[in-house]
Amino acid sequence: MTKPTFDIWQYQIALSERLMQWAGFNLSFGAPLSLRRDAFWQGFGMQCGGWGLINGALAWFGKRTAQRNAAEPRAHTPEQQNQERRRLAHLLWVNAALDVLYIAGGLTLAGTQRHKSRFGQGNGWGIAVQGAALLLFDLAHALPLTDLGEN
Amino acid sequence: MITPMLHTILHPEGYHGHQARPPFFEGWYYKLVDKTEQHRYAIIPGVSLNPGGDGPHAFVQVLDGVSGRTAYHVYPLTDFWAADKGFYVRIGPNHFTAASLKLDLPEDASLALKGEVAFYDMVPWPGTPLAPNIMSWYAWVPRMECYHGVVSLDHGIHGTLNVNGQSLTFTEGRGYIEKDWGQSFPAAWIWTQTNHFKTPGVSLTASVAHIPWLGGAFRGFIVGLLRDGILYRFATYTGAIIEKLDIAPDRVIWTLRDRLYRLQLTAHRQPGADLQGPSRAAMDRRVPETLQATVNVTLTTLAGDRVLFAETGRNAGLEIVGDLATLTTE
Repeated sequence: MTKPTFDIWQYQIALSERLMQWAGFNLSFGAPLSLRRDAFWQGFGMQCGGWGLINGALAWFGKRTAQRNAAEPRAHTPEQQNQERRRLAHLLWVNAALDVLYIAGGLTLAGTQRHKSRFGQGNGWGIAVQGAALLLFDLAHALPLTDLGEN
Repeated sequence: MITPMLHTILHPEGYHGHQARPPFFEGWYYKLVDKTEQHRYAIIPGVSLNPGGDGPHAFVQVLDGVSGRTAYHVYPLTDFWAADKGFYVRIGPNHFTAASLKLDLPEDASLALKGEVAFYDMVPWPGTPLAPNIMSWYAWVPRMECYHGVVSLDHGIHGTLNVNGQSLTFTEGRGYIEKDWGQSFPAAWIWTQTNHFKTPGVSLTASVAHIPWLGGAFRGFIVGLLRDGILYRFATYTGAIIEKLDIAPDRVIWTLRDRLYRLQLTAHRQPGADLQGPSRAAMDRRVPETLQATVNVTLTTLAGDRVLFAETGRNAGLEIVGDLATLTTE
């Protein structure tokens, strides 16, 4: 049984577009929240907006990189595809580890600010939620690459 | 109840109908082409639970892709058996798995095939839990009219079949296996498949169909081009679009594009024969199919218009069925 692999550039484009959609959702959701009078939601909304901007920039960069690379003459050899697959999988697994740290950091911040600052608490929960969402995102995209990379 | 259902979604090659009620059908499509490419057969075992026509029954349908002869062998439902897990189906004395098929069709019928062939170096559609097969996440949507799955995009064949007394060796031939299940075939579709290109290991499967969806319908398509072990996908669910779909009496021209590539397919129509396909009522749809078509395939990058692949596929299966206006206008 020979298991083929998806074209890595199409995979990277799909990943970038999903990240862009998540960024767009966060920006449109976070901006109105950060304008609310309640300090908790201001903090939570600011995190959504901030992460949305960063993720949007990363998605744009990832998409441009995939488009540029796919046009390269050697980009469609199995060797080049496997190399890129391993690189992307590595990147996603590192990000997944960082996401765990974001969740832990966010929850810690929310806990320490519980009786001190609702703004700080909102920021903490915002970081934790973003970390959890990105953990799911990174795992969902890393696992198929890891599976495919072993075949 | 939940566990078997999950298993069939994650392993679409197996039988889905253990708990099914009418309307329901399921069929597996084996394409066999011998080394000389002088003998081409489609063998389609299946089952229909629908009450019309012959009533609920199992069947083994055969298309001789060279002569255009067809045969539809009916078996009582009691002669049908399928494994709970994995792909193992028995219809009377005929056995079907992903890795082999064993035929013992009645001698008094036309296309009385007997013998056994085995498959090797199979290339499955790469799946993930979220996207188990060619339909991607649509595989998880319940009650769709028709589900589609690819069991092997390309594989070698070993073995011999006896066709009406004539022994045909399929050793070193090439094969392809796919399947459909659900309530009925779509109202309209175009399907083509070939894994006979100048470059070995290349396989194309492409289909566009009228898909009922949430009270309306859309034109859904799935195309997979395998080359060098890399699968290029163009599908509704990948965000690809159809730039052009022209259906002429002698050919179909179909151009697709995504963010990176353009794929141009020109399928040249050839004489074929009528197979039987499922409607909600019975196995009463007329499905004209040929195994003699050719498909010109060109894959280019959008940036720089660089040609990645340009070859012609031979021995192509081609079906053009139903109200085609629903496919050409969107």
